[in-house]
Amino acid sequence: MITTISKLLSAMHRDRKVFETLFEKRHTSVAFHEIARDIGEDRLNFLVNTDLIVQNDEHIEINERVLTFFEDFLETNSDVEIGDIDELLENLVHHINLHQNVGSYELKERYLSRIQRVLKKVPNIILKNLSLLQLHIGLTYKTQTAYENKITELKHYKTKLEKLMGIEQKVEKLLHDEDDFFKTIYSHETVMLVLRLKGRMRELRVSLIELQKQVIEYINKSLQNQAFFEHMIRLKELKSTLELKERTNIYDLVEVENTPISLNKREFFSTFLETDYIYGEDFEEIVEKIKLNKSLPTREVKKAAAVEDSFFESNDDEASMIDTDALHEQFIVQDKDLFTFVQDREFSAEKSFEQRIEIYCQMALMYEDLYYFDNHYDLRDDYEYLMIYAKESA
Amino acid sequence: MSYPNQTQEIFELLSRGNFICENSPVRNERKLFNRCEEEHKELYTFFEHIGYYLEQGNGYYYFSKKLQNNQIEDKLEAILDYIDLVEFMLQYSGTFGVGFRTTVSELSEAVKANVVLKDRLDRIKGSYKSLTLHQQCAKVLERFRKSGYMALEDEHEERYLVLSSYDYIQTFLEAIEVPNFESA
Repeated sequence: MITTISKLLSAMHRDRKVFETLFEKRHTSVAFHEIARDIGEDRLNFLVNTDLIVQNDEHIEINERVLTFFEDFLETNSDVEIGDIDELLENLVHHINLHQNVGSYELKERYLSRIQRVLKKVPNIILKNLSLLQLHIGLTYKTQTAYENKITELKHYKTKLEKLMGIEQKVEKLLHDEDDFFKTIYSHETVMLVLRLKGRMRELRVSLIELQKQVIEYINKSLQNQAFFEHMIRLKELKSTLELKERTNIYDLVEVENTPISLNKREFFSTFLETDYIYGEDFEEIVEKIKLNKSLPTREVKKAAAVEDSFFESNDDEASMIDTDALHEQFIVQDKDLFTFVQDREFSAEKSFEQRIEIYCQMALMYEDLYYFDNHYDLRDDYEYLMIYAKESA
Repeated sequence: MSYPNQTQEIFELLSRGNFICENSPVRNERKLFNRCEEEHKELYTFFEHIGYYLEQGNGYYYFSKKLQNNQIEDKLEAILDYIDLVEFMLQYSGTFGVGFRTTVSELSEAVKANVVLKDRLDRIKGSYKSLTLHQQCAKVLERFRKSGYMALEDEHEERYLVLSSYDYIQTFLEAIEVPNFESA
């Protein structure tokens, strides 16, 4: 049996390789002969005898107390352990009482150092447990696929979290109850530790509440999701037995007006393509493909030059023309001589006497062959004119 | 009355049957979502005049229109398809829901290792056995994407993200009252 630190350390130091191997393989079993092969049976037996290593049949492992020490010190323990803190707090109260009751300075110092140790330890343990819980909760929610287990595990962590919150309150209460003691203590170091602990606890409280919210949300979500999954399985069953339309309210729901337009498949438009084809799922893809492959001819439209403004200004010259043919037609079906006909005829535009004479001359020249020229003259307004008649035969 | 600058953009997106989602991987769409949220009332009145109703869901916006009688049957068919699709995805992962991510390869690996899933996949409408398993799986995710309930977050990895619009389908399916099986 080893009873001093130096003996313990030297024993461990001599076979540190063994401890390292065993520590790394602490979750699997290691056979006695595996280690004995490396360091010899004698030395291994010595370790077993000193209780540093425990042997079960053929397997060996590090003594639980040593293992806990390693894990705690190296912070590799991944289990959440909260029970310890309770005890620590009880010890703290106990030591404070003792400290107040003893008179000797030396004894007071000894108790004080124990008090300080607890004050240092408490926030560290709470913090460590908190971060572990956070990790486990997140991992469970995200990776655990079986619903039952997920919910059970989350609930387990929730109780742990609640315990941790209980501890936090206990610490708070303790600090409050022993306020007088901490205020009157002469040791500056202790005062500093208490202050630091108070600050730490404040931070922790915030994180604890946050984490609690999160875990509750996770549990609710998982429960909801599970309920939805079960619901879906039932729907699927009803669907496959073709009872869905008969036995549920699905028709009422479908008629509700807030349907996204992506669900109203049918839009009316005319096309030469078969309708089944258009409502098929690949139609959009096909159109996209064709659009890419086939470049449609684009027609360039050239713009004409701007029209000049002057174009719009009206500068028409009006001139009236005499339709001589029409006049001739009218002349030959009546009895008057040409001069009288032209003078008496009403034109659309007003004609002067001279203009009328002009028309008379034009007609006579143009239809010379068709008119009968009488050699008899007449007189009007100082003008002597020849009597011209339409030919009887014409 | 003034309307937000993005009114046209919003209309173009929504009128094609898309959703505008809060958790869209496209930054611009998230912006448009905020716009819709800020100016919902104005936009609603504006689009109402042209027969589109700007509907608001839990983290998404979409257009709805008055249903024609023959469209009710279509909608029913579509919903029935979703029962298969959603149930399949839930069989694949219990966490399937808004914010869920998966790649085509992950899905096809899971199907390979699970006969139930394989069976379900083969029965989904439009999932032909002549396709490869990978293609079949891609098709399922693509269907969610085309209807606006998923987004292709990473083309290279073929990673899909379930958008907040999926909430519409989930809420709809949840609202279907299932009779008690004991009395059946």
